[in-house]
Amino acid sequence: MAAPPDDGLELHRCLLEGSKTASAELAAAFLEPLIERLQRNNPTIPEDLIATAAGDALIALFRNPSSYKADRNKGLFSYLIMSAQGDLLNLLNREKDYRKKHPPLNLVELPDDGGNSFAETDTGLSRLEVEEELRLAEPLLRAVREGLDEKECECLVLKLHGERRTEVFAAAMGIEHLPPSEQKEQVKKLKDKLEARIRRERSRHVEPS
Amino acid sequence: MSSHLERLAKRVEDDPFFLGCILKQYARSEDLDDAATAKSLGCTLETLTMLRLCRAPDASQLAADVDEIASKFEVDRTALLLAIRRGQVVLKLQESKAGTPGTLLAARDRKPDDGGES
Repeated sequence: MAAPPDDGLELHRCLLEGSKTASAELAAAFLEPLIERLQRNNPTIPEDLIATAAGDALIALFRNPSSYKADRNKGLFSYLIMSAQGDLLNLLNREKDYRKKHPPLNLVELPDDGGNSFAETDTGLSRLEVEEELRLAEPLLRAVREGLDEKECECLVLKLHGERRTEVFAAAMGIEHLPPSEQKEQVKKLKDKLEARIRRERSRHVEPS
Repeated sequence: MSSHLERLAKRVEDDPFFLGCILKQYARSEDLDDAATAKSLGCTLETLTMLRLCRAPDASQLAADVDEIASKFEVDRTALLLAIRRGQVVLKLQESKAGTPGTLLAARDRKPDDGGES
């Protein structure tokens, strides 16, 4: 099912008014697009974790529909993306904690190759990848708190995942209608702003390895 | 219907906030699998997934909530109402069992020396 044309605002209003069916309709409308977007933003994270985070974000909204303020300048879908991204970070943190407390047997026992391998988790995600995702996600969330708007946040996620194409950023910024030269200029401006923010965040919060 | 949506619907079956939890108890009490549950409600498996993702009806306005759900998803209103009532009763029984450990011990025999009749 495609996302509703009004970005789910009518369903959200029904949810606020206590409708019993709005949760099912919102889930049907938003779960798949949400999973697709999270996969695009987090290409190295296993699909089951992505789907769990997307479900967590929807369930949280169903339980507390007033957590989304329709009158603020952010669409419901964008709100759900940010919420799910936070849930994903929590899941990865839990995964990291679990792996610390319960190292896989093949990390404890002597491996056949003399210890040069790096085991994968049950989900196929290596611990290095998990830690990398955490490292990348932290500045994103901090930046959100510090007041980036939703489009800038989306571009930040793209940038943190190595996206470089101007047209992808332009689409996220909603400026595809502008002439290419102007798109390029605006994208560059935003990239510069984000790079400065990332540098600042990393220098403040990421310990040198 | 997406498998993700089905998985989410299955996931909320243990959460009393959702209708899925009540329907799960109903199905268990009747020993019904998904197909049989859908058949008993007069709906498809896809609709059953949607029903599971609905919020659980409020006891204070059960009839109105069932009306809303039944008309939205075109399921048999009477069958849905009966299933919900059955599921709620089973859920309540489970909650009361879990909340009062030792209830079943009330009927045990007295000890021979406590003054009771043997």
